Amino acid sequence: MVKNSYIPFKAKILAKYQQTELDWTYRLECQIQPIAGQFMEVSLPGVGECPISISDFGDGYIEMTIRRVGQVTGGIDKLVPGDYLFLRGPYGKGFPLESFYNKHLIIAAGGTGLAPVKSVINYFYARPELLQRCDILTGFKTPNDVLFKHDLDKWAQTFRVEVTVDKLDESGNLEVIANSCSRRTGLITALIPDVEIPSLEDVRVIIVGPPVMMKFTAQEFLCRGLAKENIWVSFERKMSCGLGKCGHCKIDETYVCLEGPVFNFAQAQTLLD
Amino acid sequence: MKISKEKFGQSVDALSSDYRLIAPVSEAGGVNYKAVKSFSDVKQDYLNSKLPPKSLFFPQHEKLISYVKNGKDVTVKNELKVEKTILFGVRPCDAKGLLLLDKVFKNDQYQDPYYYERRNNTVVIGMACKTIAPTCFCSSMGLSPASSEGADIFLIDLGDSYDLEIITEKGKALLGDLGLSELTAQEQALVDAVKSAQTTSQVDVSTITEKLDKMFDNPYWENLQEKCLGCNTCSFSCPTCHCFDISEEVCQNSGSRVRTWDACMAPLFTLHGSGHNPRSTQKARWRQRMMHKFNYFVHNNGDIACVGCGRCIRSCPVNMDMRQIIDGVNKAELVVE
Repeated sequence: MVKNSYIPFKAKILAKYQQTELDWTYRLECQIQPIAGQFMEVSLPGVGECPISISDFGDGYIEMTIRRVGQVTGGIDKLVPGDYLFLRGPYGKGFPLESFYNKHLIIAAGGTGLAPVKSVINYFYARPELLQRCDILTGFKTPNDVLFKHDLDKWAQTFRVEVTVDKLDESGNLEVIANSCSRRTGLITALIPDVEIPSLEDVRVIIVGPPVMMKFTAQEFLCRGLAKENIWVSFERKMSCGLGKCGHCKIDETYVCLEGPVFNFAQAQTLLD
Repeated sequence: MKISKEKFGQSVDALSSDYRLIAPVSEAGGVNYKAVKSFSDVKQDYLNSKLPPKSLFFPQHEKLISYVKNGKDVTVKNELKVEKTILFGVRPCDAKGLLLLDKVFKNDQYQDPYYYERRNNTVVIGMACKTIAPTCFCSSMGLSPASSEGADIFLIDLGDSYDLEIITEKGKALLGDLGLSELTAQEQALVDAVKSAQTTSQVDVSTITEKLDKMFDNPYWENLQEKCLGCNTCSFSCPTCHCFDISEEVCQNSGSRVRTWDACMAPLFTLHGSGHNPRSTQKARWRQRMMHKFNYFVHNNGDIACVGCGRCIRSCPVNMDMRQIIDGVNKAELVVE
């Protein structure tokens, strides 16, 4: 009998933290050792299965930050610590962390795009000596949509962290965002011309967010003179099987679930539907 | 070598305690592959089945796992069940189709547990085509109405008997010593005629993969899809299409996770939970279908994912014709950048 990759394993919800009205982070009891940027197929028997990126991990646990948008995520939203989720994975290629060593790492994350890079940031936050410097640029819709506020605050102790929101909400204040970060309104692309770049060759960029955000953010970095090869992105696609078979995530001959979701921009820019 | 149909049938029926026999049968709407009790129930004169036999290995709808919920406790069970099978009467196009599906589901890199077990437990008995439909174009796809590629045993119908050729060890092991006799000169002439036959309909795919390399932005795709309804019939009747979706079927406290055929011609195929749809036009979806069959599959698996069975042409409600579309690609002017 060959291995059956479709059979999920049970993972207990150890804790559940609210990020925004729609987003919660779930800490799950799990022995896997993922690579930052990989994803899991998460399921609820009787509801369905969907791909979710791993937002953090440690000894005996992984974390996933899940937005309530559809049936499966709606079902997950109702769970409490002590309940179980079903998982299979990890799947896909993650970020090549070693290629960022001794470099100037710039991370640009839009909305939930911050989730798949959170473990990258934490990795280097715990080992700041591995980087020359690090800029973290994040963009959200409103102050109420800001994810990982405590982490942003924490990261800002060591790295330069900028938070921008598209617009202010009724309360009209940016104070809800971590106070050690630089805060402003506007699109994330507007932050890029101001990033100080002492040595262009040493810059490595990670861009994760909605497709339009990634497209224009990458353009801004190319305008700053970056080589395509020094930019990495992470794609979001409908990945039903995670095994490179079901066809949903396929862009030309590339299965995003196998060869991605993390891509070097030199390859990513050739992936067209 | 020759064997009478009666004797062949007896040999197959003698295996019925170990093997189920799946063979073409007539039913409302056409001929299809179904389980039969005895070889005498098998339809002998048929053009081809309405749907290819791929569903025996990769069913349109199948349980992957099942589960029972007891309060918050859930028990998950593997649902794989495999029966030893003789698949009789597979046409050359469909036998080749199975070899192409093997490149996806049963190869050194990946073994789909469900497909793999079914395929390993099935002996394929191929059957040459004596009648060729006007929509058949297998001769253009490196096959012919009598090519035995993909079959374990290959037959040519000679009326009361078959010309029988053992192709693989698996085929040899199935039937053992059959006591075959020599063909008469007249029968040999008939076998030669079947073996030299070609489909009347032909298309040229000799350069299509390279041509498509340069056609992603070609205006050819603009109008191609205008009459397409996006009904997926072409994909569902294709021996090589293999995309699927995973969903749930629930009844009170128990349910199952099921795998169901899906197809790139439908708008929902690529729709994200967020509402974003990266392949949002029928133009892009048709380009995807053509590129996948004649370019991407070649790059990934070394073969064109079309066997020339013509089912997509026969089943299309708006008469889209794969041969014309291939021809259109061949004739399309390349846009010089």
